[in-house]
Amino acid sequence: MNEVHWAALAGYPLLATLQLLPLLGALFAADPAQGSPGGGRRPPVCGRRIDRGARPLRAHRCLDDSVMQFAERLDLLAYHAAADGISVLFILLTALLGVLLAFYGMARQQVTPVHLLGVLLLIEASLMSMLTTMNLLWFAAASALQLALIGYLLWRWASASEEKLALSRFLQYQFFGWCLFVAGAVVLVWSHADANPLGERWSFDLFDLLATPQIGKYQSAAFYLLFYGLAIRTPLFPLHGWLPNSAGYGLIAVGPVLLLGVKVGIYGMARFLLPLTAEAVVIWQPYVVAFAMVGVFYAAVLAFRQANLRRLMAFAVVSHTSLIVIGLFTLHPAGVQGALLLAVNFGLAITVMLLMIGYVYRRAGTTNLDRLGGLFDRVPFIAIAFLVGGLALLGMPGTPGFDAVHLVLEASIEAFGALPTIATALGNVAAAGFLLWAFQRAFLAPRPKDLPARRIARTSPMEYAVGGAALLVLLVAGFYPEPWLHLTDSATQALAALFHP
Amino acid sequence: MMKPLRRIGRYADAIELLLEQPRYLMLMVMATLVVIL
Repeated sequence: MNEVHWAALAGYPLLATLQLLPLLGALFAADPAQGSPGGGRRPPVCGRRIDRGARPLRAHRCLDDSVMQFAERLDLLAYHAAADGISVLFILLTALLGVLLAFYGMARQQVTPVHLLGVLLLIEASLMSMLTTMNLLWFAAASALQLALIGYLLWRWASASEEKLALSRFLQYQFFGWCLFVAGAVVLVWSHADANPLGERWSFDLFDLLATPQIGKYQSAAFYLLFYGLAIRTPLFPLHGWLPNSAGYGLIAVGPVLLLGVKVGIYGMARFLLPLTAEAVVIWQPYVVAFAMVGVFYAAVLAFRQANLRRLMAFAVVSHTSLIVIGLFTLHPAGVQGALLLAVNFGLAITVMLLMIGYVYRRAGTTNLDRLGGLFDRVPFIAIAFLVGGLALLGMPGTPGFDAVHLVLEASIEAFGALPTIATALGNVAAAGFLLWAFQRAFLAPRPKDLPARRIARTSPMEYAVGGAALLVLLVAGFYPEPWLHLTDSATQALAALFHP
Repeated sequence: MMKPLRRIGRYADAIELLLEQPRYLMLMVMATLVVIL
């Protein structure tokens, strides 16, 4: 694995800046002197800085994207960060979501408590750290920080009386998943150190681990520990037990967007799991794919049975995440590329839908489908944004999901044959049913008597701005996907080459 | 058609109730490790 030092590509350590800027913003937000409403308007500025920082990535696109770029090392802290075609879309998405959530908070008048903003920025920093680090321990540490902060958000700003249940399920599952991931990392590093002909040396660095011989004896154990740890985060059937309660009774949009918008579980699989446990991946691939295929249908069936829009979305996420995992575990260049694009597309589409659900909750005071209806007349923009988000989840032409689903299904036919692929595609079509059904009930069905038209405020300019920005990115990326395909092409080819030399 | 679908839905609900209990998650993970080791 090769890397290019940051000094050869940019005038400053870009990846460290991406991690430190939100941290500085969080410190600034935590300053009591900034507790005035004016102080709460900082994050968009910080978000713009992140976007500006991302420009060199585009400027140096001519480099081979499978080579790690903007590499930074600090041996004292085992700090090693770099970016390539696998991480670049996730990094851009994280920056975009940070800006959107800050504006969303302003639109929902949630920004006044400045420390909410501080927490958001800290989570942004931890996500950036997870997406840029090449070190398993740094990844685990940033993951722990992010989960603890989201747990705090759940505890502080949950929207339902069952918040304790949501919080306890979230913490139990995520803590267990985190322990599994760390245990997997320790097994992997210990086995590598044991097998190293140059003598025993413990290193959690991806480059060091790839440079030492592949371990055979404990690779399956390491694979399953890492996979379970990441699958709980993703979340993947049957390890998704925390999500329905957390989504149904916790935060409406901010928490779920931070957990589900950026699919760090999928990123972790592509970055660490596939290259480090390649032999075990090949052995266990059929079982993982079989569970994912069951998950597509299982979650679709449960989504149909939900009366709450938020729980319905939770099962939609489980169903679609299974499709991403199928793409990733085809171990085919097109499948891996499709899976990564699909993860980013789903992240963006889910974000749009969750933000719109937040706006619906603000007006109706509920997300229960029995108590919603007739919203299209009063808030057509929110309805259309929700619909476009839903169609993007399905992979409609004009959204990035179209190309991504096409790549995944093409690779799936090659890897598993036509029948399992048709079944998977049918599961994806089933998703169309429950999302359109939810749209029809919430926005087009007759308005219930306890939801008079005068209670439903018209869409505010800030809501237009947030929804419009997200939709614009979604549609532009959908109609012009070439840059994203080009960005991820070499890196995904290199990853798949581990399995098809 | 609706009857079997409703039945499948009820089964899925029952499974989901189990999956939402952390102890079953732990059992599942331990069982997997026992099998592969």
